[in-house]
Amino acid sequence: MDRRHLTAALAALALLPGCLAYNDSCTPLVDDPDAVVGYLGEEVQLASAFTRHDNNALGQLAADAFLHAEDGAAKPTELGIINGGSLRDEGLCVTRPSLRTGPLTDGVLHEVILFENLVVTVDLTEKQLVGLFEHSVEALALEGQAIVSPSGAFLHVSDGTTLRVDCARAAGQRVTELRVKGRTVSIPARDDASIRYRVAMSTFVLDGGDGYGGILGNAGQDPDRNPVTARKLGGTDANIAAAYMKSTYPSPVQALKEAPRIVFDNCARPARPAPR
Amino acid sequence: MVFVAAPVHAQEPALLHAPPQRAEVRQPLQLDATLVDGGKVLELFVRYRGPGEPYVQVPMELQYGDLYRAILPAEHMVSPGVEYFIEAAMVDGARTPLFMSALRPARVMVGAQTPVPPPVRAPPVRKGTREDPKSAPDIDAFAPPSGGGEDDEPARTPPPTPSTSRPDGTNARASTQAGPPDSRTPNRADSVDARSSTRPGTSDSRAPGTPSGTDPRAPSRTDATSDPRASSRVAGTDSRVPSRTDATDSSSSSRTDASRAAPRTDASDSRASPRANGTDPRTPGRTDTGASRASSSDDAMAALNADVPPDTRADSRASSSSSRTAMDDDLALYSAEDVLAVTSLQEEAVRTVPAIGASFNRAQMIALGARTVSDVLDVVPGVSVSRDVQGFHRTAIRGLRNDAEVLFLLDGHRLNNFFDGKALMNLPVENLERIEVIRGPGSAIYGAGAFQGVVNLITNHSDGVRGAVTTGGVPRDDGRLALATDGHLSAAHTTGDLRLFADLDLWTQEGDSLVIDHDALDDESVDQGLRDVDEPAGRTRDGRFLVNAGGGVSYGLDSAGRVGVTARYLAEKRDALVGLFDTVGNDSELSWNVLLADLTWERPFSDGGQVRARLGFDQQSTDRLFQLTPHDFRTGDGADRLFPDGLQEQTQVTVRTVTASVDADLALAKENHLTLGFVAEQQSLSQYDYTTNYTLDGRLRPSPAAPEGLVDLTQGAASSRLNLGLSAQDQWTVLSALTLTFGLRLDATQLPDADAGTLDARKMVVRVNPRVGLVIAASDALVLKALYGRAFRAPTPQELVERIPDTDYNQGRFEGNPLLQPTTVDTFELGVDLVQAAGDTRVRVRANGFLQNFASPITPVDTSGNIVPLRNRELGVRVYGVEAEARLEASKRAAAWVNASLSRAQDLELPEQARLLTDVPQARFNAGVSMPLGDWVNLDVVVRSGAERRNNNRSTLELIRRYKIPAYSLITAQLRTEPIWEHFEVTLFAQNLFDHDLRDDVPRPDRVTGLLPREGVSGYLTLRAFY
Repeated sequence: MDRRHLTAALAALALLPGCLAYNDSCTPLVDDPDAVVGYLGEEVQLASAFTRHDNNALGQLAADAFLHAEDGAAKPTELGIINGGSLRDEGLCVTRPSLRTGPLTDGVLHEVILFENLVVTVDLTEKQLVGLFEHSVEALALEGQAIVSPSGAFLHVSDGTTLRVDCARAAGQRVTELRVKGRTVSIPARDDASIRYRVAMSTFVLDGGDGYGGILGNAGQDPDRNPVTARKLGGTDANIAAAYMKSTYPSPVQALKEAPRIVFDNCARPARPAPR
Repeated sequence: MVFVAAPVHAQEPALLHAPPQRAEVRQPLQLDATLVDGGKVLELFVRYRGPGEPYVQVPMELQYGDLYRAILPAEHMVSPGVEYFIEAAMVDGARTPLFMSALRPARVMVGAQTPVPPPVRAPPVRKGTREDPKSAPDIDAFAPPSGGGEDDEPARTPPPTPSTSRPDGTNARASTQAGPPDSRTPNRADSVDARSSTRPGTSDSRAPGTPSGTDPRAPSRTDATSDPRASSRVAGTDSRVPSRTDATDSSSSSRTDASRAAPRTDASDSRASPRANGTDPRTPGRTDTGASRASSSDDAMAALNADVPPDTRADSRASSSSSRTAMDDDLALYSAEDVLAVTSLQEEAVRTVPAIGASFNRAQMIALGARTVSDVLDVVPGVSVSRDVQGFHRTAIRGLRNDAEVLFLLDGHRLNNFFDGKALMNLPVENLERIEVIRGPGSAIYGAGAFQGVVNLITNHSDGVRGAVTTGGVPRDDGRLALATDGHLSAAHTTGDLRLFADLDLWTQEGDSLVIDHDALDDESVDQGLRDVDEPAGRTRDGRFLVNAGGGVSYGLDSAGRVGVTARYLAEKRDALVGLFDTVGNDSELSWNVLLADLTWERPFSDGGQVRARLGFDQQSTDRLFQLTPHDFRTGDGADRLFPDGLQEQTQVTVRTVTASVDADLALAKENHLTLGFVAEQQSLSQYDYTTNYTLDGRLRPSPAAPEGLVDLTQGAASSRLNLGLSAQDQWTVLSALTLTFGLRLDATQLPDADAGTLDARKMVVRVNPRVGLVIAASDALVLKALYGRAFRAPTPQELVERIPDTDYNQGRFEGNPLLQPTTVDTFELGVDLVQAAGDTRVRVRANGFLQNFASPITPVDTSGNIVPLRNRELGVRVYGVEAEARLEASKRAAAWVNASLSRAQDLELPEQARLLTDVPQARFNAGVSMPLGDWVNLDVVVRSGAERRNNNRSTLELIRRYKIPAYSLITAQLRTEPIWEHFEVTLFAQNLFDHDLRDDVPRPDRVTGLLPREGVSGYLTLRAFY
């Protein structure tokens, strides 16, 4: 007896046509998913080794967008960060290991940055800032090791910020150099609460996601840190990134490309597929 | 014990009534009867008389549907007893006796009485009735009164009615009410009695042949009149012997019966003749058409009058053929109202307690090929049982699955753990008399926790000794048989006012072992060289050892009621099926110990009501050790990052509950019953230890210890809780065909007060739960129900406060939220129940639709990709659907049933395209067939199937972790013998004989890519013995 037929027959008995319904998981997250928000100047890899263990063009785009979320405010933002775990390849209907060079649509961008976290800009102390990056890179694999389950806590940084990491050093001492908007940050951090850096990040990180709770404490609720939640475009990370893309990378000529903002010493690097 | 029935097709009025065996002195006696084909009946009367008195008449009032009730006043209830019969006033003015007659009344013993030894029928016949000393005094007291006109009775009696005297099972209700009536309470002597006595009675019933159409006992009765002494003795045995029969089960009854046949004939007892004709359906000559027709028509009656409590009828049938025929199933399926008699606290309000329910008695469970409770629950319409990676059986009702929202009771004692709401419910069915399921809320009767449904497990306390051994196992893919064996032994005995029972279940299984190709640590394990890339991640493990031991004693204090003490101990040790979450952890060990103890007291009121009190205690200790990674796993470089035994965590929790409750049942008027209840319950978390062998940064600890930052849950407001509940339920029969039920329950639950600012501040949260039921008996065959009920549940301490520090290896756990509020559900149900009979074939159809609105449900929805606090979903969840069941019976041993359910659950907080929740199949379909294969063997086939499931879309993570769980079907088949040598029964069965695509969900289907494999085909042999 073909058991599959049996199942089908039984199912047909019980399940009158139309009685079953399922969610439409392919429903786009935005009204106009095909609207082009900008152009990619190169192929962008979305596998976790690329979003959590290396510089990534879309991570940098989002960090830049966060950096400019509060443009015009009295105190300018110096740094935007986004955790690599916020960039996803799964998509709603299909998994996208990479995004091709060329136009990027609003629908796809919202699927890559799909958690819809709000963006908050807040003052951090130097200790917190360095702590953030130490936590960001503490799980990076040493050169020669395989990159296995990279941590989503890895942070991408905005334009004007460079970070040098030495994976040969012990966790907690891996950041060897950090410059934020031209300011050189002292490594190790000075224990001076008056030294502040204005940093934009998602509520996910600020609320302690991916293990940042111990470093950031209640900075998001502390008036002294002057937390400001982005208002434009609903304040969500994906909307802010899309708007920034539209204004900054509007054409194939002005297209988004990855920048070497984080320099990896002695770290494992993901193997890039051969360019097509 | 006499059971009167008429062939269905005769269309003559007939009465299903089982007389009580015994009644209390000076206590009113309630008699219930079910009228069939009563179209021409205007009124029903009970005519009764005390010793030396003339017959007095009281009307029977229609209660609901086709159930009639009469109360014999307390002043007539004097020792040694009363006699009665039931008469109908017909449309044409005639009076027809429907149950017994003036000449042959039923007899109820009143007052204390030495119990008659179990083998009921044997004494009267073998030793000669005259030698039965116990019956003599009672009988002599009944000097025939001036019996004018009574001699005419037999002549007028139409063949179909009293002639078919079926000394059937006691009507459980009648018996219950006659005695102190709580069939749920283990100690209840009378209820148990009733059940046990039923069986022998029934077997007897079929014997005094319906086929002949004549009253087999009439002659003896006639003789009796000529010889007062002899007659009285015969009469005494007739009415009383079966009623006092304490023979526990079918085996003894059939044995005695068989042994009786010859002596009876020799004694030229009038009853011998019909039996000698081979009409006894239990004899091999059963296949005789006359006999089978007779028995099946008896069953027709039974089926049609399934409103008779399930246990009684089931037992009766079981005894008659010893086979637990599938017919028995319908009792349960079709007598939900009666079932609720046991599930609800108010026995008097049984019929009209607003609820949609089902019940499975022993016979049914056996016919299903069920070994455990979850096997049974999975065929209830609207109920789905699935297993999670940790191996827990999770019961979903109407499309939603939450452990804390299905109330499990064992003999009325709650099994759900105070800490996490889980219940050690998957017990072997051998020890169970019945499983009852109410779908929808039960909060008007129960408090918090009876939310999505109530499942009541009732252990078997009937007198006698029972044993069963099942052995078999699962053929593993390595060719080995994974053995599984369970044994059951139980005994109960009644001596005077003292009743004792004890039972023991032992269960051991190696369990199936199925390949898990991928788990969450695939990459790491391969990278660290712990296994090859083409090796599977591991295998499931399903070993289990279970002990279930219980015992109790109860004592009747005459007018002061009955007191009882029961205790039960459950202990389970088992493997985790996979592990904590999505990593194979074969060293995981889970143990669970439960101790339940109850002290009960109950006393009937003189007006028919009763009062009951219970003091209960329970303690549950769980010890769950999970292996989170493979052996020799590394979290990094360095000696302290190597874990030879893998990363491990262990959670040990002990909770205690002390409960005191009082409830009283008051008869305000004949048509109005009020039930009041009060319950106070103190629950506490007395131990909570969470230890890991690793630090938060992934280093090996020298010895397991609590991680930094762990909250001590035994302190603080959530660690203990006082629940107070006040309930009132009134059942009012407005018109004969219309019964209204109003219930109100007021619950005050102590919860943490998050506003107070201190950790241990508590506040009482008060919830009011109303319940309204409208039951319309549109005709004899059709009953309509409209029900509304509200229920609530308070968050568990785990949901409120458990916070386990997050690491990469124990991720996926949610964070407690002290701000959680109780969640409530409003349920609307419409039900219809229809019975049709044509010839020997009977069909019963029951269907209902429901709409449930859950306000502020407590749901862990992880929207951010990280551990988030649980919260109340503000916009709620809505579930609606239909459930339907049908049963067709062609003969006593041949039946088919089918049920289907369809539900749609929606989380209203989500956009339209993402609302549907499919934790469990939206559609379920179950069906079964039972048929005889010759005289001695029955074949049962049960099919279970479920529709495809998909992931929920409540959060972004759920959106991107797409998965489908395919539709499945399972077939269980078994061969079951009729009783062998009257003490044994053998069942050979295969579970999951054809298993297609049965899979369960896991938390991360993207990691355990093949989903969780479920147990495959398994085969067992069961030997049952009863004495």
